[in-house]
Order: sequence, then C-alpha cells, then structure tokens
Amino acid sequence: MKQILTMVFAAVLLLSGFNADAQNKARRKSFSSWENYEIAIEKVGTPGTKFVKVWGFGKNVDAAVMAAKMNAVHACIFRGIPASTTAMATPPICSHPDALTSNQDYFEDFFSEGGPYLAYINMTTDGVPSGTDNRKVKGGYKVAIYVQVLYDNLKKKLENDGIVRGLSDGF
Amino acid sequence: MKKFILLAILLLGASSISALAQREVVTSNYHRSGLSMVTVVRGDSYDTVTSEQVADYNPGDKFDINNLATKTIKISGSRENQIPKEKIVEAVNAQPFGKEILSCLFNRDKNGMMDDKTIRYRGNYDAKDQDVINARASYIGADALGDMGEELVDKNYIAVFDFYNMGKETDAKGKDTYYTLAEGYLFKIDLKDLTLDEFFKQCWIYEDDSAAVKAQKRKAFDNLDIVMTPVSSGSTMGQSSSQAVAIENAISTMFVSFEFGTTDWAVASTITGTKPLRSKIGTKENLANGERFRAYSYREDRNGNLISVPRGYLRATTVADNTGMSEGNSQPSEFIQVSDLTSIENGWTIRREKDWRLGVSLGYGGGFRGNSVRLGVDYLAWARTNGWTSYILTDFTADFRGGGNVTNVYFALGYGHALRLMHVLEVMPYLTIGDDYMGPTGGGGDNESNFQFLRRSGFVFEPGVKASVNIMYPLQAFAKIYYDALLYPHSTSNDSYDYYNFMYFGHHSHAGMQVGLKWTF
Amino acid sequence: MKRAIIIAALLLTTTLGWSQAKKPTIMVVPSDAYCERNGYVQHFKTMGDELDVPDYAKALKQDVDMRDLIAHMAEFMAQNNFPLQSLEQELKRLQTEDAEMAMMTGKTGSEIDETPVERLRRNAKADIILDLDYQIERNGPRQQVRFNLQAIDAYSSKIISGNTGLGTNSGAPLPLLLGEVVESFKDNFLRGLQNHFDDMFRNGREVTVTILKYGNCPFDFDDDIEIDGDDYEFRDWVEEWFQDNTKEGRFSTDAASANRIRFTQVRIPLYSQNRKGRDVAIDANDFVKPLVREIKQKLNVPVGATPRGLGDVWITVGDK
Repeated sequence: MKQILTMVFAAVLLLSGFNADAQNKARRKSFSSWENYEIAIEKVGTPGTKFVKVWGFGKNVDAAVMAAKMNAVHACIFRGIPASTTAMATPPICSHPDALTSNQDYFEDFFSEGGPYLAYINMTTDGVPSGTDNRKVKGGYKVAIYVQVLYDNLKKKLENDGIVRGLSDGF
Repeated sequence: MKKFILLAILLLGASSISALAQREVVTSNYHRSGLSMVTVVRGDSYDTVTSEQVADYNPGDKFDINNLATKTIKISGSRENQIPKEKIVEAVNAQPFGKEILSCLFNRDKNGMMDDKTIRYRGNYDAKDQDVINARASYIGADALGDMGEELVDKNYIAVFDFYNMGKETDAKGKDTYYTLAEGYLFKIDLKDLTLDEFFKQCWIYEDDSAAVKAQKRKAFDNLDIVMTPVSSGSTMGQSSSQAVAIENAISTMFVSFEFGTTDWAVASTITGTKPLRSKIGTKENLANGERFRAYSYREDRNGNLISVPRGYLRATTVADNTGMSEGNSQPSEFIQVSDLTSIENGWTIRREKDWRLGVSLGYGGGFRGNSVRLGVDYLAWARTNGWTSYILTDFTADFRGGGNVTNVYFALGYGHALRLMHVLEVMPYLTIGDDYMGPTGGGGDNESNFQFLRRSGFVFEPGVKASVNIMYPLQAFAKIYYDALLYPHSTSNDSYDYYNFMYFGHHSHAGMQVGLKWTF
Repeated sequence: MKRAIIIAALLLTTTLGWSQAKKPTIMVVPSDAYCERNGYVQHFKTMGDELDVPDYAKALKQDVDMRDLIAHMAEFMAQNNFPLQSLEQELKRLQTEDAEMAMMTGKTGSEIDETPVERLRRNAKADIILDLDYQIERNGPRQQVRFNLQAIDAYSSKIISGNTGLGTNSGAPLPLLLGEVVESFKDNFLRGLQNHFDDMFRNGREVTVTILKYGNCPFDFDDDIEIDGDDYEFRDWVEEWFQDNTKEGRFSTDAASANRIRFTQVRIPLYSQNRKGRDVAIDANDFVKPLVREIKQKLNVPVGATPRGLGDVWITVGDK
C-alpha cells in the first residue's frame, strides 16, 4: 500500500512537474516572441517621459489595457519607438539583441503581474479606451491607450540594476 | 391585418437595405463648425425685418460665429415666390465669402496683416478632455491646443435664408397672424487644393517683409479662388402674432432641417460611464433633452479593416452645462438607451441621429361597437434618466361597423407618462380627451356647418395603458387597453349627438384594446 | 530576481575594481554654417587671404535662442553625469590668456600654424565637440525649429552621433519649441554617445599621434639610423613600436614624410599598469610616454610630447 501511495505521489509530482514545465515553456515562448504590437509616439513628452499611443490585446478591455501598458514599457526597453512627424525616434534602452534572453529571469519578474514595470507608466487616457481605440477582435479586445512612459527613470532603474550600462559608467 | 404585415415587411426590408449600404466607419471625431448667416434681400419693405431677424438669430453655443462683412445678398424678384437655387448659388459665389471667412479667422486688417488669435482661441475652445490631458502630457503643453484651431478652417459654413410669401391674416376678432415661407441653403467653404501651408506661404505678411513682398502677398490674397459649395437645404414656414417671431420660427426650424443633412454637424462623442449612460457633451454642442443618438462599437474583420457596428439608440436626458474651455474634467450629460437588447458599453462611440421626436402609430382593435383603426402621433416631450418619458399624444380614430363603412371619427389630444422597463420595452399610462363625431359616410351631408358638426359630436375621456416593444428600431409593436368614457349632453334636438347615437350607433362608455405598429421619425 | 541581484553586484564590483577611465569632456559649439548664416563671423586677413572665422562670443551674446538650446542640453548632460564644458567661460578664459596662449611656439622659434577654432579646441580641451546648428522656419503664425546636432570626436574628427530633424510646427512660444526639440533628439543623441563609449571600452580609445621633426633634429624620418646595433628607417622603427603597443595592433599611418609622421585611428588601451603594477587610466599622452623615453634613450635627441587633449598628442623630435 505504501509503495502504491509513493508511486502515485511520485507520478503526481512528475506530472505536475511536466505541466509546470510546459506552462513555463509556453510562457517563455510568448515572452520571447513578444513583438506583435503597435506603438506610435504621440508628441514629444514632458522632460524625461515618452508620450505614446500603444495598443494591447486581451480577453476583455481591462486585460487589453494591462497588455498595452506592458507593451509600452517593453517597447521602451527592447524595441524603441519609431519617429513621427513631430518627434524623433526613441532608441531602446537595451540595444543589445540578446538583452532579453540573457536577463530573462530579471525581466520575467519585472513584467510579472503587478510587477515593477507599472511604476514607469502613467496612463493618460480619459476613462476607458474609447471610440475606435476600443475594438472587438477574434478572441478578445484590442485597445489603444495614451501613456506617458517615465523613460529616464526606467533607464536609471535598468542602469542601477546592472542590466544596461550608464553613459558615465566606466569613467 | 394583412396590410399591416405587408407594411411591416416593407419597413424591415428597407431598414436592412440601409444597414447594408452603411459601410462608412462612424467615429467619435467631432469638431466645432464656424457659421455666418446671410439674408437674401430683394429691395422691398421686408428686407429690413428679415435681415435684422437673421442677424439677431442665435443658433446656439454649438457654432463659432463668423462676423463677416457681407450679411445680405441682393437678388431681384417678387417676394411672392422663392428665388431658384441656381440663382442663389450664383449670387453666393459672386461674393468673396471664402476670403471673408479667412479674413475673419485670421483677423486680416486693411493692410493685409493677419494673426492667429481667433484660430488659437477656437482650437482651445474645441478641445475635448482627452485633448487637454494629452496636451498636459506633451512638452509644449496647453499651447498645443491652439494649434488644433487650424483643423477647423475647412469647417466653416454660411447659411443663406430666402423669405417669401410673407404676409398677415386678420381674423374676425381683429387678431393678426403673420406668416412667412422660407428656403434655406447651407454652403461650406471649399479650399480646393489650397493647404494652409500654401496659404501662409502666399499670403501671410511678416512685419519684416519688404514693401514689394507685402504688396505681392496682398495681391495673392485678392487672387485666391475659394468657393462656397452648397451642402444642404431646407424649406420651412413660420407663423406668429408678431412678424419678427414668425421669421425667427422659420429660421429655427430651418436649422433643424440643416442638421439632418450636414454630417459635420452631427455631434459625436464616446460613452464615459454607464448606469446611467454618460457622455461628455452638453450645452456647448446644443444638446437638448430627448435628442437621439446612436451607439457604435468597433470590430476588425479578417483583414484587419475597421468596421463600426451600429448598436442601440439612446436619448439625452440630463444635459450638462459644459460651456467654456475644457479643463480635462468636463461634466457629462446623461442618456437613456431606447433600443437594442445589448446594453451600450463604456467607450462606445455615440453620434447624433437627429429625428423629429415623432412616433406615428397605426393600430387596429375593438372600438365602441365595431372595430376601429387608429392613427396616432406622439411627440416625445421630455426624457428622464430614471426611465420616465413624457409624450404629447394625438389620436385619430375611425370606427367601422358592419360592411366596413366608417361610421364615426374621433380626434383626441392627451398626455402619456411612459416608463421604460427594458431598453426595448416601454409601458405608458395615458389620458386623452377627444371629440367623437358621428357619421362621416352616412347619416349626414357634406355641407354641414361647424355648428351642426359640434352638435353631432360628443366628448370622450380615455384613460389607458400602452405597452410598446421594439421589433427593429425605429419600428415598434404596441398593444394598449383603455376605457372610453363617453360624455355628451342629453338633448332632444334632432341633430344632437344623443339623437344620432340613439337612432344609429348606440355608443356608450366601454373598455377596448388595440394592437399595432409604430414608427419613430 | 536573486540572479539579477548577483549579476548586478558582480558588475558593480568589477566596475569598482577597475580604475576609472578619464571622462571625456564635452562642449557645445555653434556650427560654422549657423555662424555664417547669422553673421556671427570675424573677418581676418592673413598673408593676403581673407578668412571668415566664427565669432562664438558674438553668437552667444546676441542669440538668446542659442543660449537656450545650450542650456537645455547642459541640463540633460548633467543629468547623465556629463556636465558640459561652457563655451562661454572658455572664451572668457581664452581672452585673458590670449597673449601667451595664442600660438603654440617651439622653444627655438619653430611655429605650428593653427586656426582660431583649433586654438579654441586645443585650449578648451573638449574631447567631444557638439556641433550645433539650428534654424527657425516661419510658416505664417507657426514656427518650426530645424536642427542639426553632430557629436564630433575632437581629435579623430569623426562624427560619433548625428541628429537632424524638425520640431513641431506650432504657434506655441519659441522657447517651448526649442526645449521640445532638445527633448526630442536627446535619447537618440545619448544612444550615439553610448555606442561610441561602448566601442571605446571594447576596442580602446582612438587617438592620433603626430611626430614632427624640428630643425634641431639630426636625422630625417626616412633616414636609416642605428638602433641597438641594427639599421632602421626611423619611421619603420616607430611603426613597429605602434604594432607592439596598440590594442590588437590597430592603427593606420596617415602621412609619413621626412619631417612628419601621422598615425590615426590608433587604438590605445584605456588602462595600463603603472610602476607599482596598478591599473591606471591612460590618455594619448600617457600612451606615447614610453615611446618618447625610448627615442630619447636610443637616439639621444631632445624629444617633447605635447598633448592636445585626451586623444591627440604631438611628439616633437629635435626640440621640446
């Protein structure tokens, strides 16, 4: 009986392990292929900020808004923001292509639910995303929000955490 | 009954065809329009009063008024008839209205010097809460709002009014009634290929420009070819005991008419709250209680194309006073949803779909003795956020008896106080008071005097309850139960209502019910 | 998270363990095109030629907008721990030191010509010059700032970060538009600088070394001379020294004549060990010190090294 119990216990552990591993893999996969979103600079922001319109996708509007917030921070760190007629392009804070994979744990924590990334974003959409910025698409909602990303603070944070070099580092 | 079904099918078909035709993506973009009003004068005694009334008319806070130099255009012709549209278009474009509008917007003085004070003011005034919040998030700040005024340049209109067939009637008591007919034409500025950049380049005089350059720029302004394009028109009439008020009434109705045909004027916004539905528009957009809007949500098709999906209709209830510059926290007006099972959600677009607030219903059911057909017209007088709506009711009923002859007709006027139980269901207790007149197709002659008519009619006092359910808005089905209380003087006179009723009809107070369809215009 | 902290801690200790490299100094200078366009030039007559030279003092005194732009840039550079060198202060200093510092003169009267700009650069010793040009375009009631900012390595004259663009076309007050334009290009510009510094840390500092023969030098640079018992052409012998001492042997010989040898794109390590074996940051002058010593010892001629900032050094053979 004891043996059977041990076997069952082991099997459960093994299965849950596989399951967790599979989930983790899926999460990591989605994390690394996290590129599919639109972002546009709205205007030159107040000093130290980037004022952007960013899109997010989610099962409901709230989830889509959260995704959009994450995307805005993600863009500032990894993708950069393209130029517009009124503002020059913003380079990504991490310009190295391997920045995400080499600091995966750090960024998974950074972008976790309610994670530190939220401290670098200030949503300026008046109420909920409205009008054409709120669209029903297959599988959920696609919304656009206006946000200020506290770019300089975000850069400082990543410099202090040793993810990127500061301009005066080494001097 | 078959006819009703046929009518219903036809109406349903028509609405689905119009839905198919609707491919335009409706957005919540709405900007203020500039307006100036012009009177057609003909060189007669009415010129002064008409042009004064037009100049004094206030079209509401919705418009930025352009004070143009030209306020009248003269076209010769008899006041008996309207001036043909072609002549009006010709006369309007013979005047430099386009240049006058630009001069007004850029405060151009006699030396050709311009500034952007008006444009910047209008940009600030047009700014919505989101614009203000966006401006605060930008480096330039609130100064960026003034720049938005330039987007309003191509949203400038002139409204031209032609009054004709004017006069007055005096009744037996010596009371005067003035009347006028009016034709109105709305023209929109057409900058053609002229961009503002190009306009500034050609015509904007800087203080440090040389005298030659200044002269050249003045000449360039004089040579600008900016036409006014007709976009909407309307025919109205006005009637009052005062001539001025009669003219004012005609202008006022004309603006309602213009609203139907002018897309730029269709106020649009988004829903900023539910329970109750709220949106940040109000007096600044001439929003009035009961005004109808339609909600739109958005979806993307397989190719990622944006499609606006028409949703339920809603009506304004509490109108917020939002006059003045937005500071990012404007008070919203309240609305109530009047159609569609799906509730309108936060963030959806709403756009005004002007209607006459009139519901025309046709019903069939049991009357005094035989069956009756009822034609009712109700006017939505007031809508409230809590679901209560006031209606002014008129009713025309024809009773049939035996072989289908109309044996009597009944006119009534009343008041209904409806409660909306669901978006699509409204229950209305009502009360009408009417006049039952007997025998239009029998028992009487065609040349009866008013006196005889009155003697052959009796009052009907009708309390009832009407329930209306949307089939496909604006088409509704309704059922009502009522009690007709017949009140008439007992008289022995031969031509009295009592006599006829006794001899032929046997009308008496009783309960009845009706079912039918209603269309909202 | 733990891993991140460990990485951060490791990086921090590594950074602290190193000696700090000398921080390049940065100065904003109005561009020649801007000065010429706005009439901020001085006319010189030298040897019959007429020469227009930018008059920075006049530009800074008269153009409030330029001062505004520089102030905005100074602000964000200070935030990034790179305080800008003030051109205005440098100009004042130059004025007082003009008599003694106007020309660089060899002790025995040999002269090296340089333009006033070079003189400024030499005296200000800015390693990176931010060459700033801007224009305000009028469009009716609106104004738009067109700008062009180039970060130039003062010694290699290479553009290390270039930014051109247009600000918002707006009727907003001009100081706002100027501030906006700086905020707009700031991050791109900093990225350019960062790339430059990254490259420097990876591949070494790029310097220029010029060896000049003075009148008292007993040999020409293309002469065969005896060193350690072997016959070498002087310039080959120097080149060999560069091959041995530059980072991965990277340098190029730009000009080699009897009187002058110029080495450009000389990649020198940022650090070298001092006599006590400690890592110390070095600049071009430090880098050539062993060479100077060697020439002095092996050829027994007076040799002088004159640094022109961190990245440019002149070695004068035959005089100091």
